Amino acid sequence: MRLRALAAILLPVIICSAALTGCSSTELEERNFPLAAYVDITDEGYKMQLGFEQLKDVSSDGSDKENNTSADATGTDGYALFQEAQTSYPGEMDYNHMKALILGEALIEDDAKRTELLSYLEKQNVIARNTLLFVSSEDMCDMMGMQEKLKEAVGTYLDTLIASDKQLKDRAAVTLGSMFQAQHNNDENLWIPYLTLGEEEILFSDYYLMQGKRAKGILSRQTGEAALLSEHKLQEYAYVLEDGAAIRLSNFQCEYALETQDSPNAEQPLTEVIRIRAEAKRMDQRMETVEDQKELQQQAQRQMEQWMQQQADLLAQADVDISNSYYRLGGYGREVYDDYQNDWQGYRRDLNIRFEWEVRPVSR
Amino acid sequence: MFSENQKISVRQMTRLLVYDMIGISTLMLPAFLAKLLGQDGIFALLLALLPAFLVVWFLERSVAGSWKDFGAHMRRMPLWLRIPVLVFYICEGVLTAGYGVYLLGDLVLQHLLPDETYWLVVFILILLGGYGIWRGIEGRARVYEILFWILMAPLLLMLLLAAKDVDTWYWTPVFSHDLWSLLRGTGIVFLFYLIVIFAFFLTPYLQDSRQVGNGCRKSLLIAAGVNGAVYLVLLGNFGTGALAEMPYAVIDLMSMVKLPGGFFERQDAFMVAIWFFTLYAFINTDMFYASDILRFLAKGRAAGTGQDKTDEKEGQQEAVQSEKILQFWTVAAVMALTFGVAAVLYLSMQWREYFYYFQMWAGAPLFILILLGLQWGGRRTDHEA
Repeated sequence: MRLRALAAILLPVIICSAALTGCSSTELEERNFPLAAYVDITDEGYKMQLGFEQLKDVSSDGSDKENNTSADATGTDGYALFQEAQTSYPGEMDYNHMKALILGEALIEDDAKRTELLSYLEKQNVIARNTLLFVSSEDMCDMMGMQEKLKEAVGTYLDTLIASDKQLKDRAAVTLGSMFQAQHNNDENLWIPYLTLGEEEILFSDYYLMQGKRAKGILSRQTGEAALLSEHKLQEYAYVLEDGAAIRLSNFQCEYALETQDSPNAEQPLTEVIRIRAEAKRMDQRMETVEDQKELQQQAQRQMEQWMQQQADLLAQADVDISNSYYRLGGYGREVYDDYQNDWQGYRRDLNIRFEWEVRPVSR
Repeated sequence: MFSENQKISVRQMTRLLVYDMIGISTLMLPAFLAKLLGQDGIFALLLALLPAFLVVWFLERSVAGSWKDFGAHMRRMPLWLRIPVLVFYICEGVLTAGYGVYLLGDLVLQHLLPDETYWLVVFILILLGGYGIWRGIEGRARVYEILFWILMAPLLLMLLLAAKDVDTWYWTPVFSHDLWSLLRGTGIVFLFYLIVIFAFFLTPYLQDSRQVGNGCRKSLLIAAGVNGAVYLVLLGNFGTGALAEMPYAVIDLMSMVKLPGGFFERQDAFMVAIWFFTLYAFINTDMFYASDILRFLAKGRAAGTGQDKTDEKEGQQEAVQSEKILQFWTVAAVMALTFGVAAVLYLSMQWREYFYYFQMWAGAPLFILILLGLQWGGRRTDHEA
């Protein structure tokens, strides 16, 4: 009886205390769901602009562009930045649905500030790891202000931009999590889409390369795609041959092998041989005869090898390994891995790349 | 419809042990193994099965004679030895339960309720733990038997979906660490597998204690399989450098998996439920045997041997009532102590370090050595008798 009396007193107390606390009672209309954020540095620290839709203004006919709004924040560090974002606009900021994070070029190139911000974002779990990542040097207000010209919020637009890119494999999309990984692993290239502004649209015009923790700079989209192709991160690729034939390459298979030269005087004693097999479909016209097929095969093989080799040489001049092979060394070059462990720079210096292509034309 | 005799089947015991093991090990082991062993961590997960099987085999050999009654072991011991051993097991139970509460509280705050206070979360978890013990082993075992596939199926599905993004280059190179590091890693994994020894405290509640060895081996294999799969998928998605810096990598993995159809966005919050239930099982088991042993210490007679039900059947109302009051106060004491441990671990990083060192060098080794000694001594006494 005494136990029952005790339970009869305690139970309501517990239930009441749980009801008064527990899950947050902020209603949906009182929350803001930023879909995109642009973060850059200032002399004092960081600045950020968030783009989101006003849920309570969304009509039953669908969202109107006037419903898009933005909020600004500044802070001396990551914590202060997000604290001010929380208070700078009515309502609670809920980052769980953010689709795109744009980092300013100045921020990416400032090692200390970039590391500090990324460390804050990672430890505090502020933004989901699968948020798409971009770099831009455009003015923050101009970039986020594009939601006035676009038919949708900037975050949604950028999400669609990447999702609709049929060339890229799903796992190759660069996210905030990819950036965290690259910083910790410190032995991989990360090709981040670089954004510029057009008249009525946001353009994915180039790539920004992070080589481990080093910001390497902007490289052309074509060069970036060549690198991603050599890393087996593309599922298809469109190319125009010298004679104007438009082909689409797909079903890539990549094999990697390392050759070493014993000569101590060799300038680049290591050669990575990348064998790529792909199917090629001619997109502008049908291949009528077997000779057409053979002609296409030879042209495609020769020109793809030339083009990829050009890109590899261009990147080698900038001390970049096009195929990102360092992190794979343990798998197919164990002795080389042992020799160059913790010496990524030395490996890149001694590395030469050679491409071998095998193209199989297929009929439309 | 169902009998209520405070007895559980070996299948229920196996599932309880699996939950006890995989909840805490899948959360903690990946980052640790990535830092210590990198790609060779998978071998530590497999090698640690050998000493674990050896321990189970040794204990199984004693089943016929001496496994059944922990209380009988204690009664054979002189008082000057019995009290410290009992106090040690109570402390171990409270310490590991407190750590489990701290871990689960941290997980809930990070992934589910970031604006909530740690104290309320821990308070409610301990209340739930106390309620679980109060309701008895049978109800808990039944619930977990039903929940087993409800929780395992989504976990396996998510691992399968995450597997397609695995970059197998991250699994190389192998055999690149020295033997000492491998042995250290194996030792740490073995400490997690040692959770299987909780079967010793569950045996008095088993319908058929002859199958306890098979149940332990099965649960070890499942736990090793799940840990191995989780580790390989995590390694293949993140790489050793990144994985070593991620405290709850498996939860982060769940947030990255794209479900076909894209209709479910925050599946990581849903998947945290798996660790909620598995860690809760771990906490409950620790609190259970701590309160069981504390009750034995208080009463000075065998606990957990089914004698309570016998008393009830004999209709001795007073004995039942005093038993229930004793159970209430022992459960309350364990809850209070567990709360204290969880509080200390939260407030002091230094004490967390002390806890890790204690478990590695004293707590877990003594835990198993005393049990082995009891089994060996009990078997010897039975032979002599």
